[in-house]
Amino acid sequence: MSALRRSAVAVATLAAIGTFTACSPGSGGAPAKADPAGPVSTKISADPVTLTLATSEAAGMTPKLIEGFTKAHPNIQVKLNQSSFDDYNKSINLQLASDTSPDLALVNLYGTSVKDGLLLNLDSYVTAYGWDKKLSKPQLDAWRVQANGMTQGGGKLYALPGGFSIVGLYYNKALLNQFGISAPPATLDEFDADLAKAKTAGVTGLEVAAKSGHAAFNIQAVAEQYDSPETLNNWIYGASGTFDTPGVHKGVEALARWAKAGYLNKSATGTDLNGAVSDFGKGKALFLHDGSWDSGAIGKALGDKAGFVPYPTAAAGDKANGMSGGVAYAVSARSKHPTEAAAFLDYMVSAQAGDGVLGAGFLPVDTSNVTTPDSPVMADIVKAWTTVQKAGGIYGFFAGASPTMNDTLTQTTQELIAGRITPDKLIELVQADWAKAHPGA
Amino acid sequence: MPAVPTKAQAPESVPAAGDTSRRRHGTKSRQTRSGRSRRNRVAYLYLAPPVGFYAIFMIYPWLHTLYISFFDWDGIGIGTWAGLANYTEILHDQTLRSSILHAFVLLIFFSALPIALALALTALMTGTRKRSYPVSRTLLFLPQILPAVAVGVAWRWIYGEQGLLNQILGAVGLQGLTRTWLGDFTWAFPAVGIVGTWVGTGLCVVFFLAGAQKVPEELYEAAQLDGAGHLQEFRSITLPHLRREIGVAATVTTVAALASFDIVYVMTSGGPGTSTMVPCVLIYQLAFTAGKVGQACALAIVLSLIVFAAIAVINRISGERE
Repeated sequence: MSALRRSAVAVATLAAIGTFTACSPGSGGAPAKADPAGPVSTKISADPVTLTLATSEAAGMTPKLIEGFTKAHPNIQVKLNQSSFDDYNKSINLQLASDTSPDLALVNLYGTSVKDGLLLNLDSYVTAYGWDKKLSKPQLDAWRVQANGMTQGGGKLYALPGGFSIVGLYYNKALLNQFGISAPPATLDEFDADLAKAKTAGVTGLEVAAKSGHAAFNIQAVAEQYDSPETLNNWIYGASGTFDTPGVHKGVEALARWAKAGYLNKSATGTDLNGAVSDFGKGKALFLHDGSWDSGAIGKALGDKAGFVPYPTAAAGDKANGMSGGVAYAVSARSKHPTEAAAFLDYMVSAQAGDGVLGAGFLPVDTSNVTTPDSPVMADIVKAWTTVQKAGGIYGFFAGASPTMNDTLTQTTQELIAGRITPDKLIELVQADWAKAHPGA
Repeated sequence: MPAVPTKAQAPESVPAAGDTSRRRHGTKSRQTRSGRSRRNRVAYLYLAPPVGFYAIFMIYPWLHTLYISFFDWDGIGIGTWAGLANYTEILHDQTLRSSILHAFVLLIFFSALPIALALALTALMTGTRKRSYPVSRTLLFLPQILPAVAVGVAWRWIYGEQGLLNQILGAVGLQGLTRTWLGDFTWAFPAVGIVGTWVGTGLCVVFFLAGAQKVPEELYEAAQLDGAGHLQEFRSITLPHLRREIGVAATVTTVAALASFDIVYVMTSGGPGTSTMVPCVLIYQLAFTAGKVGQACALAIVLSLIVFAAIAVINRISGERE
């Protein structure tokens, strides 16, 4: 027995020596080139090329892009590799670091991918293709990353957005009529009054998908009515700032107040996004604060009873605003076909791609060739997007402020809705998460 | 003659060619010792594959995890030495601490309740009125052969807003009690725990029924002649014979509780808030969402030490005392 134990110790020691003689974890792999060597080309190969594209985009925009792109370039095949949002975010960096890296990858949030040199710097392609003339500066800046590899909002470009989403207030016109409300709310006070009317009628005022972290959308939307895009975006991009702003305070307090007043769906903390969209589609709630990506499902369920407006403002006539994200694709630093992958990005922002992008519920970069959507709610969304764009009221998403921010916002808003933490505590916990991810800021 | 004798060829009974001289001159004690050491060498040969396997797939990864736990590493880039910082973080982070506490409370649902229920069921199924109950046994064991993810998904439906549980409550006029059970801060934890009880009970029953089968029939007959009741039979005959099986069941279910992941992850992912957060879900989130592989490894090491300690205690209590 003791001999056995001795040999076990010997084996363990050997294993330990094997481990400890290796150097720091992660230093084994061959580094990929994050910056293209020399000038880039826009002339794509005439030989057969197969690109792999990894994505979690599920509204149908990506297959449409692939279809159009491969039609224009018949020698190129694009293999689509789709997974769910959660799985995708957890595995994409490992995929990009592997020998079988996809050529193109959707970027939901950069996380450590730029810091670890997994993505190709696209700056040379911006000039080569003239993307800076097609997209506005804020649209590109949102995807630029500074030299520290973590802070967004300026620096080098690592992903190109192809379609934009806008978050706003979906409303049910039939219920609005039923409660004697003549128009969707324009101010926060009107919004509050409408929620109270729904409550009196025994209907959920605001459907909230707190299990998916979307309760934080309402905090942010109220905050946007008081804090400028720079203030909140700087925090989201990890540049500087604090979560403890006057607007955020008002937002957190509003959510807590609505929860306490019974304006939210009874089971908000246990409702995920699919459940919330389905409940709203069944006419169970007056309002749903959600993104354009769900316009398809909502339009199908409610038809012309569904409407969409930018979130109500603090005072009548204030500038319209909203959260907006982009469906952005990046080229892997390990891609063997960067020229062809960049050509795909260029197709994505072209006029030909417009209809496919809009059909999936996203606003295309180039709208010159787009046919007017036949769905009434989509027409509302295009109108809201134009208004918000013109007003310069584009905000990023709080959830993008750190790799763990979505989890933190989900947990803390659930606790807030259940009345287990105070608004101040929520702000403190969220800021603590942010500080961990941006230690230098 | 092979260089290394096999087990069947015991050195004493079939001496090798050169052994005769030693047999003539050597003392008896020396002989046995050399024989034993030879037998030991053979034993090691047999042990080599499993030990090698164990070393490569269990010990090495554990040591590697220990090694990484001293680094600040995102899983892809180059790690930087962090010393014990990842461990001190565990002590100070409230979510990390509460997740470990949750794992211990889960012991009630994953271990204590299944063993108690399984003992009760065993009492009903054994003794003088023993029958084999094949259908009940199969039904009880069923949760064990279902993938835990499928179990989690099924129960998520049961606990859902329009789920079976709320439908039943509604049907008997208890609408007031309906809720989304997994979104409720008070009920989410017991709701998840009960699933663990449901899964664990069948396993324990199978252990205990197997153990009860080795109890000599005569003991029950004798007890019956002495006028013992069903309960007394169980207490004085079946239960003492199940000592080791209870030990095994406790070990298996304790590991399942402390290292629970799949059911919790599928049903709640640790929510609402962090009310059902357990260490393994947190390890997963730290490693794959937060990109804090070093801290995930530190928590994994702490968890494995806790599991070792818990099992050591169980072995101590249930171990051979004859």
